[in-house]
Amino acid sequence: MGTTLTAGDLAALISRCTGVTVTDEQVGDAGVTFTDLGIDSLGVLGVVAELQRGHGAPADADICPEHSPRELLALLPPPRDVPGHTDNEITIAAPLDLVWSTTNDVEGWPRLFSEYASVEVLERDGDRVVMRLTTHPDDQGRVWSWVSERVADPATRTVTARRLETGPFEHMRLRWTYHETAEGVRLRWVQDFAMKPDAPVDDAAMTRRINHNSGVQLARIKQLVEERACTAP
Amino acid sequence: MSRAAVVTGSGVVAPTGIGVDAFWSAAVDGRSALRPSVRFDSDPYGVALVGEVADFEAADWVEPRIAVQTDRFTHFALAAASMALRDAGLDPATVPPFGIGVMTASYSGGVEFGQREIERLWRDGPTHVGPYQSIAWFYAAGSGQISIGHGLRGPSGVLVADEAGGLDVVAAAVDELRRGALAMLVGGAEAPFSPFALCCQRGHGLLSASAEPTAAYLPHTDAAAGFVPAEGGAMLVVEREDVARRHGRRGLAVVAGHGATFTGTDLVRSAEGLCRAARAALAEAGARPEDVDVVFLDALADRRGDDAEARALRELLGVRAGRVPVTAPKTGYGRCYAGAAPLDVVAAVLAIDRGVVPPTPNVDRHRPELDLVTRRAREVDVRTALVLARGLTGGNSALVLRRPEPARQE
Repeated sequence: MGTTLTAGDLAALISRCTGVTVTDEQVGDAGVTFTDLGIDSLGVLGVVAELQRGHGAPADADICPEHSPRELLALLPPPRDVPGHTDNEITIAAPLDLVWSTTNDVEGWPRLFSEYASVEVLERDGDRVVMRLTTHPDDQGRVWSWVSERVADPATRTVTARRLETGPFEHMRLRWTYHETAEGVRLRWVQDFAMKPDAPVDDAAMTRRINHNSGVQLARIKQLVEERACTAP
Repeated sequence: MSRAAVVTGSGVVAPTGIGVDAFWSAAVDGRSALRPSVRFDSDPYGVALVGEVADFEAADWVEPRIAVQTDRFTHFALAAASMALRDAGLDPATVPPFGIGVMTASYSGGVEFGQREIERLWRDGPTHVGPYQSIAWFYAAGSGQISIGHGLRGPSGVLVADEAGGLDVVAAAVDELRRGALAMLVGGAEAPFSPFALCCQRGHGLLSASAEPTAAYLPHTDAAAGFVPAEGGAMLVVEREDVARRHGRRGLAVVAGHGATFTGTDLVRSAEGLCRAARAALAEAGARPEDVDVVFLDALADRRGDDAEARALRELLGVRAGRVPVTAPKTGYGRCYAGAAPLDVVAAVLAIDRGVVPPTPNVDRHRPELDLVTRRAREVDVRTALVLARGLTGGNSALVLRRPEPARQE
């Protein structure tokens, strides 16, 4: 979930929601209630709803005008270093070199992945590549586009990547690993990220979305690489 | 109305001007403010021109805490109420508690605020709808916020009775004076412009589609093709004449009589409805039809509606129908629904006070059976003014205003 607010953040949020100018000191003072600030029950309701949407306030938060903003602040969860984390993998019955070369051919991603409409390489420097990824329209017609930096290390068969244009993310870091097993190559994607407070989805929703999409894309990659493994010379 | 009720002040938010002086000088000059909306694109809703209040800054009139929880129509009402109190020289704190209340007429409610919240509901889900939606859309928000803001504890309420409600509410306020209130704020304001609001207005089929400001709203002419919708309205201070006098506040006009009828959606039948409403208003005022010095028209700019209004006046005024000056200043700024009649009442009060009948902007070649004041204002010694208003779905109302008698030596 979201990050804990400072007293100053909460003061700004209350001012924006209610039109009442509130100072950091007032939010920090447990003796100052919403009523003292001239904020009525509807104003409190709006503030609490905002905190429930983006800042992890509990759904059953029972705050009324006789409470203080300080008490509301205490209901918010403590900050976490890694708010969003996903870990997905699949085993592909194909040689390691083929899995490695196919999945690191970024120009071929529009065919390999079902989600990308285009990949534009902006910089290439050995195993480091900076590229713009653009998706197909999603179910609401939105096209997403961002710039990522990707560094492949053939020696350890690992790839690290991060978003340079973070868009709705505070940050987004990825790590791909390739591991040979008796059944084939285990391709594992680990992603660590945090959403911005004003992003259209929160960390939990993005975690669900990435987990779902990773399953879809890994299954597709497995099928395509295995087909190629059988037909390759 | 046994004990006289007088208008001692008014406040106006109109497309042609904010404040009584700006509104009145624009009316007397016959200035027009019909133009494309700068707030949103109305073209997809079949409306090219509107009467929009261009220079209104809510922050000038409404404190931030109230501004976030209220719609534009309430901002207009709050601004007009403050202006009316100042114009009257009435500080509500000097009136005994429970002696002063507020009545407004409403038609659209908080549609702009409501549209914004419904967009959030649709786009983001129920938890994104702000709690202030629960009060901001509500018809009574204008009366409620005025009552809270000025500490008015007397009889208060809202009348949702279509456009004619803008006159009925004045009578309701005067009734409260008769029942014991000392002063009332009364009027109405509208801000009926958002895509949703215009869709609602499309249904009655009376909106002008014209993009030509001088040809868009031409009631009582052969070119009549609907009216231009507008935002804005007015608030007035009405007081018991003896109370006003005792405190040195001058009564500009007496609210002398009111009548209302309902004839349904067939505009042809509004002829009889308007005529009966006017007769009732004159009877209550103790006046005869031949006393009427000016008529402020409803001016629907629909052929059947205009014919019915002209027929009502012929029926009421007889042979004088072609000789009594009639006017419709609203052709310069549009019809702002429940705010329309309160603006006409302000204009009628000023016509009595200043001896001037403002013209009907843009209207030139009107049909000859009425003496429509066109092009320029006319000096008329107005002792008795008749204001007419019709709702789009059948209400017909009339209000009679009269010049106050000079103070007697007692």
